[in-house]
This record gives sequence, C-alpha cells and structure tokens, in this order.
Amino acid sequence: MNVQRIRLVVQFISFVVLIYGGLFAIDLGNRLPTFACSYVPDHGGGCFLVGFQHMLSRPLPEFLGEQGIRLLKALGIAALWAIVINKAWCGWICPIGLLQDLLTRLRTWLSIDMSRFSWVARKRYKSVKYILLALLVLIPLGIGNGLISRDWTAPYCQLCPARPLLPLFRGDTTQFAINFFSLPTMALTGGAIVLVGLMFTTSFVKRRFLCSYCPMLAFLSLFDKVGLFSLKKDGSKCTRCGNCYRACPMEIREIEEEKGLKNLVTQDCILCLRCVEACPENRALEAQFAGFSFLKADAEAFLARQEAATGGKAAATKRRKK
Amino acid sequence: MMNEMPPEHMNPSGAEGGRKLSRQERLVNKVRLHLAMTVREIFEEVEKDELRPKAMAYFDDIFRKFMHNGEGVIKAAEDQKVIGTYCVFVPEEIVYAAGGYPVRLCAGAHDTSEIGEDFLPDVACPMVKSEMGFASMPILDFYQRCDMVALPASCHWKLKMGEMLEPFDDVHMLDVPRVKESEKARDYWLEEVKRFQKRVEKITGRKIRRKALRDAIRRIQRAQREVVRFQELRKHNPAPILGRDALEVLNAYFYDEVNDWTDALATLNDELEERIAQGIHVAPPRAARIMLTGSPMVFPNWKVPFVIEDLGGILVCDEFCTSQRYLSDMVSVDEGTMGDMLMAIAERYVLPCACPTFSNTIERRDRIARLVDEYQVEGVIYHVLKGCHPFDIELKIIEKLLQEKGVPMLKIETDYSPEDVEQLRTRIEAFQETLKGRN
Amino acid sequence: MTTCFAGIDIGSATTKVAIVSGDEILGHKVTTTGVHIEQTSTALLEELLADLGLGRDNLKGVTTTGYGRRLVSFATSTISEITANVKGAVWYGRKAGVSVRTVVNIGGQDSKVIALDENGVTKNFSMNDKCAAGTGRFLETLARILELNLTDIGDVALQADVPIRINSTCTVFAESEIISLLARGKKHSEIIAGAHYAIAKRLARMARRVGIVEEVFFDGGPALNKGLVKAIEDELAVELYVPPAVPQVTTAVGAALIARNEHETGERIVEPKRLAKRDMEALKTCATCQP
Repeated sequence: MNVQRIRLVVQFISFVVLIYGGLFAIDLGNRLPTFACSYVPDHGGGCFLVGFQHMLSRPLPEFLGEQGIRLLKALGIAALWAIVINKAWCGWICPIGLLQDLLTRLRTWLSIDMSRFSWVARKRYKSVKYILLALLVLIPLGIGNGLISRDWTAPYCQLCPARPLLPLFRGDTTQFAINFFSLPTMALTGGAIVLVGLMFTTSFVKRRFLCSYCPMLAFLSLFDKVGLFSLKKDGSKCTRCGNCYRACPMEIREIEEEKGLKNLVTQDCILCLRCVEACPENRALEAQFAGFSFLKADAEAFLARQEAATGGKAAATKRRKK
Repeated sequence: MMNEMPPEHMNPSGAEGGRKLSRQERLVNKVRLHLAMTVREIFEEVEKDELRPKAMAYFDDIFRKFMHNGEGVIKAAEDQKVIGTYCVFVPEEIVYAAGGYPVRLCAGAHDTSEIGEDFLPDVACPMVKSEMGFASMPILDFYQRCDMVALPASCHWKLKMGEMLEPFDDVHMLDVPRVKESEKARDYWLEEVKRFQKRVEKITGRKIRRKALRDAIRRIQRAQREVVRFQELRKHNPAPILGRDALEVLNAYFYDEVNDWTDALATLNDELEERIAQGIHVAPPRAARIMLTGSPMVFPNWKVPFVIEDLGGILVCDEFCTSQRYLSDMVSVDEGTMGDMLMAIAERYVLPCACPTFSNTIERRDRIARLVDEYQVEGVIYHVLKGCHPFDIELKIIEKLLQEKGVPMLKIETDYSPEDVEQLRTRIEAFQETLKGRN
Repeated sequence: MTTCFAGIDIGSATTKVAIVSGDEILGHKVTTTGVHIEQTSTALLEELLADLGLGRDNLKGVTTTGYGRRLVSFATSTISEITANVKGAVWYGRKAGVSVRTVVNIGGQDSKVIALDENGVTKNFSMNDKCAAGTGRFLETLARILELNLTDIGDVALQADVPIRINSTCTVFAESEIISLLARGKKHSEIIAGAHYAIAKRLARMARRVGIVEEVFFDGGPALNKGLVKAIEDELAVELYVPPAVPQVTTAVGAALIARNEHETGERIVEPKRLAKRDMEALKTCATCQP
C-alpha cells in the first residue's frame, strides 16, 4: 500500500471539490480551516479566514452582543473541523499543499537536491507563524476600532498567495494583479504575487516551504492535543536510524529524537505520514484516528518500498556478470 | 581434503630451488604454516558434523583458501581497484558505485598476533595485533592487493593503527564522530563520507554517478534482504543450522563478491526451509539458546562458538559488528537524488550503529533487548577481548539490562590464543548448566 | 538391594570419589590423580565400593566432574565442578540447617567464588584457574620452604598476633620474598599468617566481583587449614561455614547427588562427549596474573 500515492489522489479530489465544487452543487460551507479560497468563483467550500477577518473588523463593544455570538459560532465550526480532521487539512486537502507537492515531485524527477534548515534556524522560524496568526486577529480588530486604515481590510486575503493563484484554475485572472489603490493595498497584494513566485522557486530547494510560516497551520496546531488524529512512537522498537526525520517535509526533529511522546503530531506536522512509511521497524511508528491504528510502520512494506526506490522489481532479476 | 597442505609449507626452513631463504621469508613461511594448521584444525572439527547443510560447502571453500595464501578468496578483476576496509563504518556502497571491490580486513588469526607485537604493546587488542601482522607480512594475499585502505578512527587501537599501516598501505582515515547526537557531528560525518567518495573516485578513476550509486545501494540491500530471511529461519526452534555455521556464512561476506554471496545465501536459505519442513534439526529442542555479544569474533577465532555448541548449547543470534550487525539496518532511499542517497548512506552507518565507541549506549541496549525477545534467548555470553575497553566499559550496563529482563549473563575475557579453551569450557559449561536448571 | 550413586571429582592433583544412597553419604575416598586418569578413577571407585561392601550392580549412576571428567569411559554423565560444588555445598548446608548463599572453594590449583540465589541455583561465579597464587599450591610451596607439614601450618599461623604483609602476587616471586623475610629473622608464625592473608586478599577481590551474601560455605582441601579460615573470615568480614571433617570431597558428593537426581528424573540434557586426549591441554600459564 503506497500511502503517498493515496494521499496524492485525495489531494486531487479535494482540489477538484474545492475549486470546481460549485459545478456539482457541492458546498462545504465557509468555515473550512484550509486554503479553499473564497475568491474562486463558484467554489465548493470557503476558507474560514475570510469571514473571520471581516467579523473581527468591528468595534469591540459589538462583541458583547450578536456579533460576538456570530464570531463564536464561526470559530466553533472551524474548531470542529480542526478537531476531527486536524492536520490532515494541511497534508491531504489544502490546494496550496498539493501545488507544492507536485512541484516537489517535479524536482525529484529532475534529480535536483534539496537543502535543509539548520536545527537552530528551524527552531527560530517556528514562532513566525504564531506571530502571523496574532496579527491576523489584531489587524482586523485595529481596523474595526479605528486604529488602522480601511486599506488594510482583510489583510490576509490581500497577502495570501492562494488568492491570485487558485482562481486561475477557473479561468479568472482578475486576482492575479496588484491593487494600486493605496500604499497598503499595493504592498499587500504585491506581497501576494511575491509569495506565489516564492512558492514556485523555493519548491526547487525545499519541501513545503510556505507551510512553515502559514497562519492556518498555526491555527490548526492549537488543536493538536485534542485532534482525533495522532502519531505514536514505540521507543523500544526505534533504532534511531533517522529515516523519519529525513523523510519529513517539515523537518521536524521530534519525530526522530523523542522516544516516548504520547502524540508526535507536533506544531509543524502536516500528517503526510511519510515518516511512518520511511520507518523500517515493525510498529515503531503508528498513525491513529480516534484511537484506531490505521497505519503502522512495517518492515516488509519498507523492504518493498526500497526495492521500488532503487530500481523496481525488474532490476532485481538482472544479475551483473563481470 | 584433509591433507591439503601445499608442499612449500612442509619445509619452512628448506632452500627454494637452490637459493637460501632470507630470514624474512622464513618468518613468512612459518606464519603461513601456522595459519594453515589452524584452519585445517577447524575444518577437521567441522567435517565431523554430519548434519551440516550442503550449501555450507560454498562458504567453506572461501575459508579453506586461507591455507593457500588466501589466493582466490577475493574475486576482484585484475584491473579492478580493491579497497580494504576496517570496522563497520566504511560506506561500501560508495566503493561499489565507483567500480571498486571492498574487502573487510578485520582479522581473527592468533598466528599473526605475534607479529603485531612488533608494533603494538603486548596488552593491545589481539584483533589489531593480528591486522598489523597481516598488513606487514604477505600471509594472505588480499591484504597486499589493496590499492587503498579505509580506516575509521573508532576505538583507540584503530585510531593509532592508521599511522602504523602507512609503510604498507595507502591509508585513508575516516573520522567517525563519537558524540553523534549533535547536528554538527552529523554534518561533519556527511563531509567525511564525501571526502571518502572523492578519494575512492580518484583511486578508481571513475566518478560516481547517481544511477551507479543507486545500483550499489540496491546490490547491498539485496544481500541484506536475504540476511533478514536467514535470520528468520534461525529463529526456528529447534534450530536448522548451528550458530557457528551462521557465523561462517556472515563472515564470508567480508571477502566474497556480493551478488555471488547473496545467491549462495539464497540457496542455503532454501535448504534451511526444506530442513525445517522435514524436521531436521542440529540441536535438541531443549538446547540452551545462547546469544553472543561483545568484542568481535572473526575466522579463525571461533573457539567460543565451538565450545558452546560442543556442550550442547545453540548459538541463535549475535550482536557482533563482524556478523549480524554488519548486515542490519538498510540504507534507505527517500527521494533518490544524489544528496539524498549520500545522506542516507552517511546516516545508516552511524545513527543506528550499536558500537560502544559512541558516547551513549542506548542503541546497543535496545538492540540487545530486542534480540533477546525475538530469538527467545535464554543466556547471553559477553565476550571481551583483552585490551578492549569499549566493550568492557559497557559490560555493567548490559548486565543490568539483562538482569532486568531476567536473562543470565556470563562474561568471558580472552584473547586469540587457544591456550585457555579448557578454562572457557568450564565456565561456559557451568553457565549452560545453570540455564538448563541442572543445578 | 541398596541403590547407590557415585560422584568422581578428578582434579589435577587429587581424585575424590563419594558414594551416596538416598539422602545419605555412604562413604568417600581420596587419592593422587597421577597420569592414568581412567585407571586411577576405576581403582578408587572399586576400592570404595569394596570398603562399603557394595558391588558395581548396586551402582546406578556415575557422574564425573573436575578437570579430567571427560576421560572416564564408564561415567553416565559429566558436570562442571562449579555446579557439582554448589550441589554439595547446598546439601551440606541443608543438613546443618544453614542456608548457603555463597560458596568459596580453594583447590589444589584453582580457586572460585560462586554466588547462589535463594533457591541454591548459581547466579554468578568468578574463577581463578590461570594462576597458582591463591591456591593450595601456594601453601604447599610455603610448607616446603619452612620445612613443615602442610597440616600443621594452620596452627602455626594462629600463633601470630599480627601477620607480615606479603607483597608479591605471584607464587614464584612470593617464594623469594619469604626466603628473604626468613633471612631477616622474621617469625615463622607471622610469615605463614601473612601468606594466608595474601591468599585471602586475592579471594576477596574475586568475591567482590561476585557479591558476598551470607551464609558463606568454604570447601576444598585447604579448608582444613584453620589459619586460612581465620584469614578469609577477616578479609571477607563474614563467618565461614566449613563442612565437618572432609571439605575436600564436597564436589564429589555434589556430583554423586546429581547422578542420583538424573536417575530419578530420567533426564540428561547433554550426552557426554568423548574428547581426544590432545584436548587435555589446559596449561597453567603465568603469562597474566589474573584472578
């Protein structure tokens, strides 16, 4: 069973549902914690950050009344999605994730090497996404309370690379432009184009580069402990070979270093499950959903995958004669 | 078969075709004679065993050649570069990818230990003494055939051996990090692997391409896969093959061409499967199941496995860098790019490695605990060579681990000389009697 | 008809045989081993049987132990001297109401310390069979230099107030040291006591590795030496239990008991292998002084 292939299929299906869903009368609501961009015409589902930012752009006293309840309801639905599907939103559903993964496949097909952050640098950058998440709350509040100009409205949508990129798949090029209305709008929408460019270029050097700084990941990581998905490690079976760290696109150290954490879905984890597939020891790593183990590290499966990775079954029968 | 001593060995002090032999030549002949005697003694003992699998003959042939200068032991082509390796840290995939032939030079002959004493103190590790003996004198031809020797600075003896080998070999030292947890240590080791790669490319004159490296990884993985199968068959109780035969099979990997070796092991595995199906076993079901660990044992230093199995025990598995550990843990290819494969190689040789020259003991402890469970080991014999500090230091830690698991352990301290076989026999016998509740 | 079992302990210096029936020792005998091991053992066994008024048909099992255990063709099984010694020690202990947890044995040419668990099963052991220091051979040398009987040196040692420290670890060099002490006019009793303490110190080093738990059982020929018993008690800081009258035969008794048990349970794990004479090459080397 090749989990990565299954994941790719699920990613494609999610992409079609989210971008083209309207054609099939699919509507998953507007509170999805993933980049299901609402700017995509006739989309199948909407990113909850849009509504979230608009709802926050109100004067503070309003939150004691109906506005507060609306906000809580929106958060509640997003939270429910986050608890049930947790990081799988990132690894299996997010369209930006799919685009980055496809570019990575192109890179490896071209045999271009990737580079890694140093451990110290990685640790330092982890906090960026939380700062961004905080700003996501503070800037709209600032706008709603007259502290920041209205040019900054929905700052994350203006900045988000999904906005210019995803509508292109429905033939809509209007978002792929810089808004010269004012300095803030220029900076933010310009930034979005820059981020799209970054996404393409960095995919030839790193895996899932944008995800390390994504405020959506930050939001979802708040639910790691209560999420229904979990990753367990049996330290006594671990040989500390380091395969899991090397396979992890988010360069998470804990997966290799920790020998007995209850749940290894750390803040950066996108649940791509590459670590479980890379593990050569039976049951050293296990992925669980609501306590039910659905994928275990398996020595036989590992051997089969290595056979495929080093040339496929055909090469096995070919013997080198001197 | 038994009277296989070539004529020149029978007359070590005689003149060769009229010319008088120099003292050096006499010494060489003497040592060759001793080695031939040692090897013959082993095979005389081995041949008494009627229940030996027929597929063992392939591996026997390799070691019988030790009686004749080691001619034909390695199968390198005339223009192929031979890279000698020591320890378990040298990335053989790189040697194969560059078209070279790796041969592991870790030695087990007492007869050359005495020559080694010209270079090293008497209390030095007998393995390093033996290696210096082979390197400085033409006893087994493949030592002199090496175009380059890769020597990891693992323990102190190996560290200093590098300089001592320089008059005889082109030595490339590999600086294995002792504290392997830190990022800098791993980056450093990756650089060491790349430095080794450059040296090998220079020696063989062939630059390593991605496909060649991938194929080299695949070749070794194929051998390792066959070993996984072999080890599974060894778990069977009652045992289809003696532990000392298994040691011979794994030891042959040092010298043989990897594809040939894998095919021979596959044949042996098939035969073992048949034996299990037919109920042929080499030890009674109640034989004491013993595991060996500690300082490595290399042919012809097999006195301990012989004693264990003569006394009716069965050696079911081992934790030796010269046998089971050498062929466990695969290089695991992730993306298949050059950088990925090099990193995979570097990591495989160091991260899961259970050698006691690293600062922590957790890999070794976990590995021994797992082996004890998987093979239903009843007793562990911990073998320490005189002068081998790393294994000696870990002794108490492993003893504690085994106590917690309720598995008795016997420590034996010895060297390569055959003089203490009886003392070993008494101790091992008492130990096995304890295991079987004869007390 | 009395069913009995024999245990033969073939040491490098002396051979001991003991015959057991039921849970009683019927008798035992000692002789010098010499070169012809099979003949010596056979003769000794026949002599003892004759003394006891028994014949070969009463004998239902013979277990051999010790250095020459594999060279006796009529043995029904063999056992290591460690296991046999423990068996004998625990049996003696049980008879005397003593729970034996450690066995200290000093033989003619080796010494051992064996730790037992609460069930009398060997847990750990340390042997010195490479070096004559700390064995009966040392005492023989001592007696020879001082021109005394081996059986008397114990009493002489007890006369000393404070023993003289002997520094050499090697028997051969200790001999020179003792002669020079004599030349300087030191008292015989103090020299002998010093030699006993030297042996006890070596033993204590082995014992530390294995762990001393009371009660401690002391056997082997030299256990008859009261001076040695005192020295070991001082060094190990425990009281020793020495089996009454014949500590030399404990191992042979143990072997006989094992023969009896094997007969009762019908179990034998390993068929004794007959080794060629050339394997009897255990050499006593002084290359490394290692307890």
